[in-house]
Amino acid sequence: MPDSDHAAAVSSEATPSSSQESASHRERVIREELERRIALFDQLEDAKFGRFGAADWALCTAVFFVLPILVAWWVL
Amino acid sequence: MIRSESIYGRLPLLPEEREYGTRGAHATCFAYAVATWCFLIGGYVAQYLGAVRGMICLVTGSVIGVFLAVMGPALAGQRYGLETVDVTKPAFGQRGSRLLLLFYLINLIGWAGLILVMFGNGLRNILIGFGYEPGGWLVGAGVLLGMSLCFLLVTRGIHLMNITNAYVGPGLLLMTVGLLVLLLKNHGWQEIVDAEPLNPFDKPWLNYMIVMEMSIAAGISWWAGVGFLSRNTKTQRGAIYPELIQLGLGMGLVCSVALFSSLVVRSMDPTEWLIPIAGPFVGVLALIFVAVANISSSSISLFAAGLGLRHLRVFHIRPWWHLVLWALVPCLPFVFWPNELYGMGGNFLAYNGTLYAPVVGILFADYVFIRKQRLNLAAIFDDDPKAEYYYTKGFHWPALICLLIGQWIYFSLLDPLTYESSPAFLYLTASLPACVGPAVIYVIWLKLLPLERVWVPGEGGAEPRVSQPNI
Repeated sequence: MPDSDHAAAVSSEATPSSSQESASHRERVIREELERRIALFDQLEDAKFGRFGAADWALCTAVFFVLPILVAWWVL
Repeated sequence: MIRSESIYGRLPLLPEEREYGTRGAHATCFAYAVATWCFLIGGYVAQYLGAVRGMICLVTGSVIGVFLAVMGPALAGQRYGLETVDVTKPAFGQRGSRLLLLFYLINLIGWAGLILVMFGNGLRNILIGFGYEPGGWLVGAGVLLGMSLCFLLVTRGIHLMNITNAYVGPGLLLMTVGLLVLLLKNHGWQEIVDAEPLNPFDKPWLNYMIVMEMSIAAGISWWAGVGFLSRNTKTQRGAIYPELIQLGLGMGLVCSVALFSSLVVRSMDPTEWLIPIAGPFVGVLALIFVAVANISSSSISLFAAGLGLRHLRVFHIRPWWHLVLWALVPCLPFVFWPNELYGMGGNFLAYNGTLYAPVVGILFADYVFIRKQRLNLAAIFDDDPKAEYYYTKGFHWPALICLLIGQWIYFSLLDPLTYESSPAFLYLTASLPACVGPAVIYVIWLKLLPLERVWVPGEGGAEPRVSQPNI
């Protein structure tokens, strides 16, 4: 291999293109942020997201599932 | 970059990043629900049923469908800040969820396409209202224009869409109320009630159950959209109740006004009602407003479709506008065959039931009964074969087999293309058994053959970390 081609090959191996650096930087940043958020979510109590308890389940099931089925059946 | 990745990407949305309190969630769900697809659905229903029975089916069916679509996935999406497809990974596996991505995209892009055809028809009817006689080509050209406008809106972000919705939603409600007032004033309730359906089947019960099925399927179709909404709400109640009330009840009521209009004007095309009902001047203004609203509605679907495309590795690091552009490409058939595809909208509605009914049933069963509303967030973003949700080569076979069983149940009861049905369809619909059946089988299967490992926060063991991130 001519010296100039060898130098170019070594040079390209030793210094990745800026787009490759940018992509791996992005991946590293996103990965670190993902891990940070996962750790945060693991620590957050359910109360931070509000309550949806047994009464809500009963109300929603009765009003938005059972009642409409009964109405539709009655009309049919 | 991080902010962009959380809003336009899949990073779990932290509580402080979420856009909607309860009032905002109601407003957004309202704008989302009271959109021009209500006019489409009402028009399709007018083919089969009159006003009273049609309205009962629309309201009850959409409420039932939204309940099934929302209760599991929306709770999971809100609690963990996840978008729709990520919520499916615990049940279906990493690769299994990508199969669902196809269903998801078909639904969103199908709706966007139908609404864009309505936009094209609206442009044509506006010109007719001004006394011109444009050719049918204008509808396809309108679809192309609509696609361009959606691209501009969606690429500018969720905040601009919220501003648009803040005007479009209330405007559509005013227009709907206005339509109803004009219908009652000019035609009277009795004429509306007495109006015959446009093109019913001979058997009355078949018409009723088909409309019931379309309405439940329309409600279940919201599965594709609730993730985008739920992950952006601050509280669980703030996610669930607005979705049930606005997407279910609200949509059903607005669809009913569209039904009345279709029956009186004798056309299922919403853009053909407004001038006969409202008169030439107000009718044209209303058509212009509906055209704007169509862009808003299509943009919401395309935004969610863009988020869905992030799951594909080739789109992981693409700029947002690339994703929006690719989401628009499948809408191109609507440019060339607008009216043919528009005419198949009723079948598309029913077909959504075959896609989504089993999915929402399995997701509900998995999140509520199997995982007791606890997810391993790290495993959702981990493509390591040893990660909890990778299962067997990326597929969780119990869920996928139950999905197939659900589709088999559906097609045994109803063919959504021909509407051929079995006698059991009269009593059961097709979506309800296709949703409940797989859910029950899935729970029994996993109780008899439990999952090998289920990590629960706070119950010991090292916290899982992401080995091979898929984000």
